[in-house]
Amino acid sequence: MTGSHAGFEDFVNARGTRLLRSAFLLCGGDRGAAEDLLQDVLERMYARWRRIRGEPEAYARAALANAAANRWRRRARRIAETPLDGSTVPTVPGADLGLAERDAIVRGLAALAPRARAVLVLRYFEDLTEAETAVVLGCSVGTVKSQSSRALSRLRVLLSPTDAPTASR
Amino acid sequence: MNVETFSHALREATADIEPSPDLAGRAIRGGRRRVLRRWIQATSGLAVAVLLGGFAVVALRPAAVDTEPDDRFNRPTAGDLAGDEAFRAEAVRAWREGLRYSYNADRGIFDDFRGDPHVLWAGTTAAGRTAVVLQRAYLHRHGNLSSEDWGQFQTLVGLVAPDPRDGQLKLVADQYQPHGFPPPGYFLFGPDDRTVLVVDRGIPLYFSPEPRQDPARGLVRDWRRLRVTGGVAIAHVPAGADAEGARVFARATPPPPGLKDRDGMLYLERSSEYLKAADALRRGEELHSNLGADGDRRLQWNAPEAQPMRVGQPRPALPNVEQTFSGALEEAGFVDVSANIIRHSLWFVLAGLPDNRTAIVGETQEDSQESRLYTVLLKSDGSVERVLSGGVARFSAALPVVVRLPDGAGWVVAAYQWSLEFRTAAGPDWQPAGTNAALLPDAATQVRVTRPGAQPTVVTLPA
Repeated sequence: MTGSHAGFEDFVNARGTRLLRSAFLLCGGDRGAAEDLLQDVLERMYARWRRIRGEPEAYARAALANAAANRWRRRARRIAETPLDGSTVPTVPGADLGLAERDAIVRGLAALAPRARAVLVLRYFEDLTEAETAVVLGCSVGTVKSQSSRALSRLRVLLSPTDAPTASR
Repeated sequence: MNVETFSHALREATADIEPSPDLAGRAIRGGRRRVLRRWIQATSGLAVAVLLGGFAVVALRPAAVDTEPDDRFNRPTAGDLAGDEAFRAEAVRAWREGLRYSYNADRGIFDDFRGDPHVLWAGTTAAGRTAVVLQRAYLHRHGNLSSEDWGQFQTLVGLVAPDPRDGQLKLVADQYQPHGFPPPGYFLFGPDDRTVLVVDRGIPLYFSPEPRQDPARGLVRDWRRLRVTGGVAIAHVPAGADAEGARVFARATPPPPGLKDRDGMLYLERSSEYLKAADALRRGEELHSNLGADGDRRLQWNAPEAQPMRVGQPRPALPNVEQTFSGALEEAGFVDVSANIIRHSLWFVLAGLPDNRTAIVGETQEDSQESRLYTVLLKSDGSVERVLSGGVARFSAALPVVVRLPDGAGWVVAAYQWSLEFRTAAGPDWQPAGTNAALLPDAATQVRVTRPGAQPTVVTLPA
């Protein structure tokens, strides 16, 4: 195994969990799709590992977000998303997030457009700033602001009124 | 639920998601298959079908017809060296020879040239004799090329100039047009990459050599319109400025001093990086990307206890210090949105001031420039009062973080894992200030820093 292969393997071993979790949210809670998406991105990264510039995790994050935002579809095992059209997602009130509430949040994400979902995942899971999110998605900060605001409003509708996110930074 | 608890909920929702133990192995096997497919495609002449691991791989080379030829190929060469036939020939030779060692070579973009190369411009720049070479090419399906770039004609742009290291005329950069990027032809080259050359694209070009700190407005840039002559615009990054900070925008109206977006930004390609990669490829080495710690100038204080280091009596409810810090910098205009990489602090000092305000001290690095210290001052209700720039983080200093707070609120100092003492002009005795970080009275004049097992170092605070 060459040094670069070892470096790649170290990277995947160190960051694989985090990246899969991000992919899981980007795919609206479709675990199978997330695994396929991550596999696809990592294979591409391996093929061009020595030429990737910048931090590899940032590269992977951007590749995941863009693939998901551009309606990447896995080739097999595709399960149709639950549209949640016009309906709200029941949540369990309280300070501690129960299984039902976590599930509701993921299902709420699934009901958003892929690009809006990517904006929320980058902003609130990956903790990127609006400027960084704009760089990753190749859009303006204004677009990130407006998409984030609209996505949070949509989540407010989908989640119970008391538990929906109330503000953006 | 507010955004902080929303972030928390996203983390909780994924807490039990773990990849398979063989994730890396599967990615490597899949990646190798992709590389092999690419190699087969690159080395095959016409259509081939190869059984590869159970998959049939077919590489087709259609006889595509260039229906939208680039009329620049019909124009005579411009520039003060346009009439120098020998130099034009030398430039074409350098282009052809340099392609073998271009880091774009393994994208397959040089596999199907259409027509001959054309010297668009040949002239004298501060970097020496320079030529811009155009080459029409058809981009095939390729494993190392975005699928959105497959199956199209493009005009590739090469820059030929002296290599500052040996003075030899070489291909010092080449570009194609990846999907979503502007047409190629925007370079930094010559000694220290200080010469800017941009190929005309019919849109006004605006140049800023570097950002500057404005106390009231944050990071701002002064823009000047570039003059296009003979199809190219040339500018220079002045001595003292880091070429990394140079920006060119192609847009109808001048960018504002405080950039809010990257619309029209041209990602200037640095020939020094191109030449280093070419050297490595000539030696048959694998390219070393500038990944990870390369270019990272932040203080590597990334242990949990540094996130944040609490001094004084900070407000108890500040669930996400990093978000508050980075959001405040962004809102106040202290983040250069044109930077390719923005690295926020790995550490923070959270200082509770006697008047119930809170100061968050951290750093931010843009691209490979110096990392700068910033202080976000919060009112007692947690809202942002203002953002202050604290200058460059001093990594090698005994006391890397020294920030004087406004309104006589004191000093924030930090030296991770070192013990700190201070004294004032009023008395010679050292007073203990704890380890890692401290909030010192405004009257402090000196800090004594002691690393375990080492001799103390005395640092005099700036007047």
